[in-house]
Amino acid sequence: MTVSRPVEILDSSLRLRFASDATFDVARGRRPGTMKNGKRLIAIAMIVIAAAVIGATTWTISPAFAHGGEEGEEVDPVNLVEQALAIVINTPAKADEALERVEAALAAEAEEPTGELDIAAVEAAAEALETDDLHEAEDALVAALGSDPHASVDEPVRESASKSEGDHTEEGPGNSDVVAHGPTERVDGGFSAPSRTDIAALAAAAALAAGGFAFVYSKKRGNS
Amino acid sequence: MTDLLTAQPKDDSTEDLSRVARWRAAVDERLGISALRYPVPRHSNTVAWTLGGLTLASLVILVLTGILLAQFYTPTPQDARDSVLHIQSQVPFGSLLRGIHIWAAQAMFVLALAHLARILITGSYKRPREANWLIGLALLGMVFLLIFTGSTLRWDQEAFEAVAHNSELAGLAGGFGTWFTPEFGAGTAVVSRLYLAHVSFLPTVVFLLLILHFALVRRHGVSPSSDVPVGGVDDDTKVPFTEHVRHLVGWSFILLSILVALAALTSAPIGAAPVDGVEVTKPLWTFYWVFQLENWIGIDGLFWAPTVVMLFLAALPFLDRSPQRRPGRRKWVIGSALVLFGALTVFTLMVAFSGPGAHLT
Repeated sequence: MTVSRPVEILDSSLRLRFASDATFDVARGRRPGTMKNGKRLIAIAMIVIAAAVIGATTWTISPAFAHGGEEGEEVDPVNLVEQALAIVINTPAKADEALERVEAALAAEAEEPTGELDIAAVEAAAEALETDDLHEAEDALVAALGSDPHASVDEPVRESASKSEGDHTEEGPGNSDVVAHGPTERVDGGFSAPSRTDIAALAAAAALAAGGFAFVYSKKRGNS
Repeated sequence: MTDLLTAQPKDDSTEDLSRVARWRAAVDERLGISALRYPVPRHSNTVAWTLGGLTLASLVILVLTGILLAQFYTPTPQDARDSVLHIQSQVPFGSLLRGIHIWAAQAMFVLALAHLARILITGSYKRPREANWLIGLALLGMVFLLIFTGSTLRWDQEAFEAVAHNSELAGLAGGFGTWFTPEFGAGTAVVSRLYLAHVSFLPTVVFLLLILHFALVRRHGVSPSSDVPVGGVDDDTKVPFTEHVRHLVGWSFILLSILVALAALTSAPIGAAPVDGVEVTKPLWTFYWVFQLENWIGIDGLFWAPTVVMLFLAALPFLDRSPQRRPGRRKWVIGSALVLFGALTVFTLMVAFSGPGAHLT
């Protein structure tokens, strides 16, 4: 193995460097390695303070609001039922908020019927929510919305103008064979019972691990 | 003909050996593989010095599984979620592939952070490696963006809310956020543009940055241990770089085996169809720390939190200018980093044990 520079020269260079630092430190009455620490701390503190000030300023300008339901907004019963469904699915602990939305949807429908909701199902959902039967509430809310899972789902920034509803079920060149799934069809994360494929994958993983350890710990001729 | 009939059998092993040697020499003459046997310090074969390589291995796994998943994915608001459910339930090995992809993304995040921590602790960002530290930070930012764009593609409630945050952030960023606004690219849905970013634009930037990153590693050499001060020479025993590659390949196999096992034993989640007007999900755990800051200071936290953290990290080589690399001699750096990463860990845990909050206006 070769070294790029003779060790003597390098050591000499290092000594010079450290000697220079030590001289600098002695002149300021500090230990080597701690010089300028005060300045650095001040610089970091200034960055943190600046960030805090800017953050606090912008916070005061635009405080956070809950999304949806602000006063003065037009009430859409269908959207309220969809929101209730999303709450039941994603945050079951906040079922009371789902009930509020279901009751608001019923009130809006009573005032000005849209005909887009199955009112009996919405009422059933309200009853289920009052008794904390979330499974029943979810089924009722899905029934209240009808069968089309995407009919009222808006793209947050803009709606796609490139494709109409249902195109994805047609066959032909360029189309996938993907079929629409229900709005509440989902896959929960976490541990699951392994399938045959998974067991085969676990066996492959064990082989990979063994191969990996063999690579890492095998001694190659001429080395080590 | 006579010669062929009367010829004695030769020593096959010698003949084969010389053939192999000749074949190797011929290949090496054309590809220059022996150039990879340049010396690197022995400590580069430790796990701590292999973290960057393992981050790259995660990226390679992500690219390979991503190419396969892309064959079955439809990047439109109408079909995205259905196509992911299709991959999960109908495509052969689809669930496993998607699981490996998602676990590999999280592994890349963890390994990139661990790589950063190793460099920070051993002072490897010091002269002459300041530029490579900044390139590494840019790569870390790209990792964040890749994970963010990837998490939006399944187009469920969580993805929908993430994109809504994205749109709000675009407003905060002013002109820099134009790409995310409805006015930009009319006729193309945002999810399609995020998909494009995920599979095309961001990987291109990542690979360009990686080329620079590795070129600078090659130029400056593998960073020395923290015992060697700036300007000193690493007198650790040298081994060929190919030996390091062998270790890296081995650890990459072990990493892949862990990812495959995790994918086999767990399900990658897909939520219900998205609904506008509610915030009922939390993002992937990698964004929990930002989420907690959003809980406190609103949507602005989404912009300021990563900005402040990145500025702090980017400033480190220019603030920490002593020749010392030993953590014990750089107490203010190590202390500041511990406070920062401790805070981020606490924020992450706070969100892990709490429900989703409302941030959007």
